[in-house]
This record gives sequence, C-alpha cells and structure tokens, in this order.
Amino acid sequence: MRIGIDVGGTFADGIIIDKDQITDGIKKPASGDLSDSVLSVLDAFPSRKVTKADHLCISTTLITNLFANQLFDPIGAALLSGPGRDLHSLPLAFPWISIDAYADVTGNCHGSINPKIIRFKIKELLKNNIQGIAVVSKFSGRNSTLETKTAEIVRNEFPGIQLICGNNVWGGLNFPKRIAAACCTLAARNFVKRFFCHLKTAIVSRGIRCPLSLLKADGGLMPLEEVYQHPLETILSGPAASAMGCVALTEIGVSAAFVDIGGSTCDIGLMLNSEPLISTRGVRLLNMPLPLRAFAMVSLGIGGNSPVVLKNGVPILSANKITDPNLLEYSTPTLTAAARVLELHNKGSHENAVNSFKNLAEKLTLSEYEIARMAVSYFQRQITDSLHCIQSLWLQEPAYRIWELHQKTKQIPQDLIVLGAGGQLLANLLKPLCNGSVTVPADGDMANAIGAALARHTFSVTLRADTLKKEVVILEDNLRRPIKDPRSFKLPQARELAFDIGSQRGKNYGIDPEHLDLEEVYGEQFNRIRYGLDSQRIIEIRLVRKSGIQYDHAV
Amino acid sequence: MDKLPTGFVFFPAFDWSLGIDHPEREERLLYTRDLLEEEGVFDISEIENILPEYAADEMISGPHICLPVLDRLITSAHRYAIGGIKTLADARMQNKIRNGFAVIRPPGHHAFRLTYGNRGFCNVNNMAILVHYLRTHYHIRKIAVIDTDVHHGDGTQNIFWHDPDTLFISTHQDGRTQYPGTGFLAEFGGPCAFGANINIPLLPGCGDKAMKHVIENTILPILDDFKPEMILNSAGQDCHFSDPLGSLRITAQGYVEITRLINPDLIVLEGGYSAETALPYLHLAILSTLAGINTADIHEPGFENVCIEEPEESIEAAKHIAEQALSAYQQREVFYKEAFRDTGKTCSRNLRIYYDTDGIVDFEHERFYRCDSCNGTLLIDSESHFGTGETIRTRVSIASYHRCSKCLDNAMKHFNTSLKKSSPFHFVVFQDLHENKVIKHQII
Ligand SMILES: [Zn+2]
Ligand SMILES: [Zn+2]
Repeated sequence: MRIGIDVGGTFADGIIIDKDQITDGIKKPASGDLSDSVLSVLDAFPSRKVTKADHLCISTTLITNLFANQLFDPIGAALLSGPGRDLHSLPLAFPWISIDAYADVTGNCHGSINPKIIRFKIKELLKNNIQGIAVVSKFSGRNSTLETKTAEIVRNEFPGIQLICGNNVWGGLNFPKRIAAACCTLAARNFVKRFFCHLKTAIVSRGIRCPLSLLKADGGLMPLEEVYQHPLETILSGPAASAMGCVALTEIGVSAAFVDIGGSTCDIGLMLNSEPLISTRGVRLLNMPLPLRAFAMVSLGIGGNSPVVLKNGVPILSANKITDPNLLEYSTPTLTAAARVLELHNKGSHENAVNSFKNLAEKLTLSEYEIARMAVSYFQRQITDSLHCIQSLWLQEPAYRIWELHQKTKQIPQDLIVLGAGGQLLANLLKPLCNGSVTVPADGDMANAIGAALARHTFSVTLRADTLKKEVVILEDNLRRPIKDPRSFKLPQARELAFDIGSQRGKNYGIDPEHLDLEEVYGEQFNRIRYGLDSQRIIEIRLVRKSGIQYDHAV
Repeated sequence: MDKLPTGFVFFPAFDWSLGIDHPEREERLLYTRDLLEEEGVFDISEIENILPEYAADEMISGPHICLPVLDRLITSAHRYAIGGIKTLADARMQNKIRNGFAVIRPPGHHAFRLTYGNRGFCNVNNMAILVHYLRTHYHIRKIAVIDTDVHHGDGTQNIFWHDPDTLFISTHQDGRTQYPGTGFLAEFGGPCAFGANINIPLLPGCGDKAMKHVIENTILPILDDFKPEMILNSAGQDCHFSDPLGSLRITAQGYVEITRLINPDLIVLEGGYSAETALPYLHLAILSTLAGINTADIHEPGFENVCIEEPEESIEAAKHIAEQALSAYQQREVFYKEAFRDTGKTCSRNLRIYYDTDGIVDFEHERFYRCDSCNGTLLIDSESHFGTGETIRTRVSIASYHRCSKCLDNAMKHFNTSLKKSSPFHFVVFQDLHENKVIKHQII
C-alpha cells in the first residue's frame, strides 16, 4: 500500500493505492504551511490504513518557496576559476571572492594556494555577514585538490564558518551550475534539515513507520535522508508529479502533450512513449542555472480560478489568486466562468457567469461573450507558446553523436491529455489547439498525488575513467577508484564496473534486481595517443534508471 | 532581448574517426566539449545552440562531383556536419542569429571540386558547400571566404578558381614548409576571376603581430573594395603556437583579434590539433568574440605571463607579402593582360591532385571557355589512379553561376557529345551551378 501526497498552491491532495487500485482520495485546501497541509491530508485518511502503508511520497514546492521567500541562510562563495568567461558576467546571487589558482580542462593545476591571501580575501567576504562559504573550483570533478586545500585553510582560520565544496555537490561539468548548486545547497541545508526532522517526527507520531520520500524534478523518489544532502533535486517536484500522474493514468506507450490545469497554475509537458521529455537546461534558482535533470516542462501562473482582468485595455488572466470559496457561483470573472459563458462546459449558472463579466463588458463596450472569448484565447495562446517552448528546450539539448541526432527527428505528438482539478471543466478549451485527440483520464483531478504515490527511485551512475591517471571517478558522489590494470581497462571493463556500482546503489534503495532497469544512455571510449604506440584511453559511461511507475503487480 | 544571439553548431561526431591514432579522431573535440560545458556557454542567452540535420545529396553534389559514388566518400558523420552548416546558414538568413560558428568534424578545405577520397583529412568541402548553398538557396551573389587555417585551403581555391563573385583569401604557413605545398601569391584566380583568389603565405614563426598586420593592411582593404554581401571564415586553429602540425605562433588572444577584425557572418571549423592544451580555449575565444562576451580572461592555461616571441624576419616577410598581395589586387587588370596575353577564347591548365590519406593521384586537364556576357563554362577531364590499380576517367562539363543561355547550351552540348558508347570516360557529368542541377552518367 502506497500513499502519495501533493501539496500545490490551491489544494493538498492525498491518495492511497493498494494493489494498483485507488482506495482513498482526499482533496483539502492547501494552508500556507507545508507541514500542516501534509498532516491534514494524512489525518483525513482512516488511521488503520495509513499505519499499514509501505511507502509515503510527498511532492512539494518547499524548496522553491524557500528561495522565493528569501528564507535561506546568508552565504558566500570562494571561486577558483582561471582562464575562461569573465566571473562578473556569471549570474551570482551571493557575494564572492576569486582566488588565483585553477585547474584546466585536463585537470592539471596551475598557480598555488597562498594561505595569506586566502585569509585576507575571506576576511573581506565575511564582512557580508555570512554564515557559510561554498568553495568551488573549475573542473573540480577532474581534480578537487584546490577546493580541498582552500577549504582546509578556511576551516583552520575561521572555525564556525560552514563549508561546502563544489565537487561534493556536482562532480559533472559546468562551473556556473556547480557554483549555483554548491551555494544554494549550503544556503538551504539548515532550513531543510530542520523542516524535515520536524515533519518526520510528526508523521512518525501518527504511527507511520514506512520509508518517506520526496519527489524529484526527474519524477524519481528521493529518500528523506538524502534530501538533506541534495535539497535542490526536489524543486519542480509539483510539475514532476503531474508528469508521473500522466504516465500512470495513460496506457503504456502513449505519446502526447499533457496539460495539468490547477486552480492557479498550469503545468505543461510532453511525453514520448510513456516517457516525459527530460531537459538538463533551463532549471534556475535565483536566476542561476542548476545542474538538474528535470522534466522539460513549463509552469504557468494561471489556472481555472485565475481572474480575468484588464491590462492596457485588453482582458487577460491575472496571476493573482482569488479566495472565492464557491467558484462555481461565478461572483468574479474567471477562466472557468469564461468557459461557462461560451458554453464550453455546463457547471454552474450560465446567467451568473455572464453577469460576472458585466463590469468588464461595460468598461470596454464589448459584449460579455466577446470578453469571455478574449480571455479564453489568451489562455490558449499561453498554452500553445508553452508547448513550443518545451519543444525547443528539448531540441536545445546538445547531441554529440550521430545516433543522438537520429533521435531528435522523432515526431512531436499531436494528442493532448488534460489533467488537474480544472481538467474536466476546461478540456474543451484546448481542443482547437491540437490536431489529435483530447483525453481527460478518470481520476485526472488527482494526477499529482497518484504520480507521487506510484513513482519509483531514479538514479544515475556517470563513470569517467582515465587510464593515464589510472583512476575511475563516479561523478554522482565523487567516488574515486584506482584502475589496477590500465592496459586492459577498456569500454567493456568500464561498463561492467558501472553496472556493478549501479546494482549496488539499487540494492541500497531496496530495488528488486529484476526491476533495476539500468539503461546505458552514453558509452564512449576516446583514445589518446601520447607516448608512441602505448594508447591511453578516456572512457565515459552513463547509466540511468529512468523514472517509471511502481506497480505492485507487473502488468 | 534586443541583440540577436550567436548561433553555435557543435557536432564533434563522437562516433567517427579516421583511425584510432589519427590526428583527426574523436578525441580532437572532446576537450572542447568539456571546456564549453564547464564554462556554461550553452546556458547563456548570447549563444544559441543549433542542432544539425541530416544533409541530403543535393547539399553536397551542388559544388562537388563525388566519384565514383557519393556514399563511398561520406558517412552519416559528414552528412550531419554539412547539415549543421545548413541549419546555421538558415538561422543566419532567417535573422534568428547575428552570426554563427560551426564546430564540426570532419574538416573540408582540402577537398577539390572533383573528389575521389580523403585528402588532408577532408572528403568534402564544408566551406564550398556553404557558399554554394547561400548562393543557390538564398541568392547571395558576392561572398568572401577568409581561410585562416595553417594549411593552404587548396580545395576551396580549386572550387572557386573561376568564380569572380567568390573572393577567396587564404593566410597560411608558406607552402615550402607545410602541406599541401601550394598557396603562393601567383595563384591568383582563373581568367574570369583573376584577383578573386589571394594567397598570403607566412613564414614559420609568424604570430599575432604578423597576422594582425596582414588583416589590417591587406585583407580589410580588399574586403572594402570587393564589398561582399557576406563574409565567411574557414577557421583552422592549427596556427596556434602549440599546434603539433603547424609552425605559426598565434595565441588565444590572437584568435580573438582575428575574429574581431574579420568580423565574419559565419565561421566553419577546419583544422586545429593541439586538442588538449589549446584548442578548447581557442574555440571559447572565438565563440566569445562572436557573441560579444568579455574575452579578457581567456588564455591558454599555464601561459599567464608568457610572451610568445615572433622572429623579426618573419614579421618583415609577412609585411612584405601583405604589401605585394594588396598591390597585386589593386593592379589586377594590368597583370591580367600579361597573364592571359597569349590565350584566346579558351584557357587550359593541368592539375595533379594527390590524396595523401587514400593514396589516390588525380590528373585533371581543365579547359575554360570564356564568354563576354557571363562567367563562361568549364570542361574538366580527370584521370584518377587509385592505389588499388583501379583507374577512373571522368569528364565534367560545368555551366557557371549566372551563366548565359548560350553557355548553358554549350555546356550541355559538351556533355551530350561525350556520352557516346565509344567514349573513353567512365563517368560523364553535367553540372549547372546556377540551378544546382547535376546529371551524372555512368558509361558501362
Ligand atoms: Zn589545417
Ligand atoms: Zn556566356
């Protein structure tokens, strides 16, 4: 038995799924506080059921809100950058200093660490009233010496300052993203820890002792204990829940665009063959790009309850929420009311809906119908633009090899799936936008909670071997291992090692080896000819356990 | 955003190489990918990542005659490299980008019009394909190609030898000390395009100063006079001081200066083999210059305070050849009369083209028919000897861009009369450059 809870801007939804059947569903208005919302949903379920749950997963906007509301800790950054882009041009949301030593593209270090200069510069940085410092060097996934040495000096000279090193947060390439990830992780760490300790205690006190997870941006589960280490992975948890809900509520192998229409938001995405498209670009926090694999989705700040307002004399949908308890009374003009005016659905009084547009109609000397039509077409335009945006996000993913480009020529799907609380009422609005069919799945209004309940663990193993350095690095946790026999270490050996590490991780998550589903998404051997005929190699392998639906009984 | 972004095609063809230990192997752009990823250039709005598409036969068979068959010459890696050039050109012409850089493998500037195999790491000429595409698809008439690779762009020179609307300027290491051994000032263009082909050979040791002098004092004034609608740059980063194949001494900041001065609309990558230490930083320098990003902090790792010496005599020689090239260009009409004094309506020349990679020798006899009202027609008889003992004889009849109807008829006539059963040729080809039309006939 699995429980999924989704806390959105308007509603907190909960669902219990037992043997692939929904047995209970709860929809509660979201209170501003995530803990309260989660607990109110849990308390609404029969307690004999929740205590028997095997797994509880929450999708939440906690991290997004933490940064939007500036509740994070004040921190700074010490950067070791070397040649490249001008540091001042990077979008850095925190105060920073630059230290002269650096590592190059091969991982070789240049310049030296001077403790005196570092002490002086850190003192300057501390004038910003910061509690922690992120030490980030370029190419620190290749060579972390500079970060370690710098951190050591800071630790000795300034005890009490919290420290984080870039390579421990993101071992892959992308310096600006490594800086952002290290800074944001450090800034969020304390808050996240406090928050989830509190939540866990409250949940345990209700007799629930099953594993607790949060939903990640790639639609996978992250055990609560790991969230302290990698809090950023859980931003965009909400849209990921919609996407997973869409996968769960449709037949296996479906390709379609999907729109999750909530009260005050819309999440839009694309799914090819039951897999939501992934993008590694585009996720930003405080305007800094993050190293996250996330579903390529667009979130709009408008939904079914968005009020129709005038902007420069044109009716549009406002991002402001309205707090009308009885939306179908149509005391204010909303998107849902506009759809009612145009008879795109038949819920609530038509007369009331028309009357709600009376003021606007008088102001613009147009009919109520015309205003409603303009509001609806504004909504349609926003959705169409978003679909294009996702498509180009996906196409912007770099492709370095021939077969990857073949992949990109796949057709963009024409069918549309409509989910969310507003899905039933507003699906007709979306019909003119697509050439294929428009489907509203049963239980689509609870898609997010269903997605959270049925998600499975995702993880990746990115291995980089350098036979010249006789070393293998696993980028995810910066794990280093020596290569015993570099001469015979080739692609097959590297592959075997990566799969070994992958199965070990799977075992740690308690994944049944039969359902490990590790997929090699990248595997390349680069020969480097340096010393006569003795060929050295760089080998890169990436294994991914993709998101998917966790069924109790295989279908 | 008021400023258009710089288009960037990055296609390293990580599943293609000329052999595991060849300089032209996958590894060459691996470090470039790593540096560009590390610098985060794919995340900034100044740069737009453009994906290549799969190029159809017409893209390639326009400027080329591929023998014996296209698919023996190119793989899907080439098709994507060429498709990358196409998508970049499209983006530029549709005003989606302000300029663009195609970092693609394999390179192309040593591939001639008739191409039988791989020479100088090239099978087909990416730059020539780009020019041909811009001209036939977007009707751009006057195009300048500046080739800054350390090797003479002999293939590009060959393809546009008779085209007065393509100004080809190549700076490279002097052919007496460098592959392919050509590229002297005397190679000045065909009778109809005399002065539209300019070679500026540089002695070993030339670096940033020499290059800057050549660009400012020769290339820019010629460009000013020629007034191209578009400037393209065949950029080879093998002029770098650390390049294992070249002996010039350009630095990363030197590449910034070259790119800034030439200010090309589109750049196509050619060579560059200092794969690990320099190439990634040079590509970053060029891309940043195009995109208008601050380049002050871009330099070769470990060379913060190192000054790269340029021998005085190399600089002097560069200044001398630069001056000669400019004056030859300015007096091209005087020289023209001298060069073609004894020729009548028909000019001919013989070429011997060696394919170092594939061991092919191609002997070409070229006859060019002048015309008073257009750019004339060209007849090429080629006899190509393969290392395997195989010989291919080909006749090609070409009608130029903007040909008159009389010349088109003549070119067609040459083709038709060569089709006889008794013909000594294995292949007879008719090519109408203007209409991008090719008829290839195999005589069995
Ligand atoms: Zn070259
Ligand atoms: Zn003519």
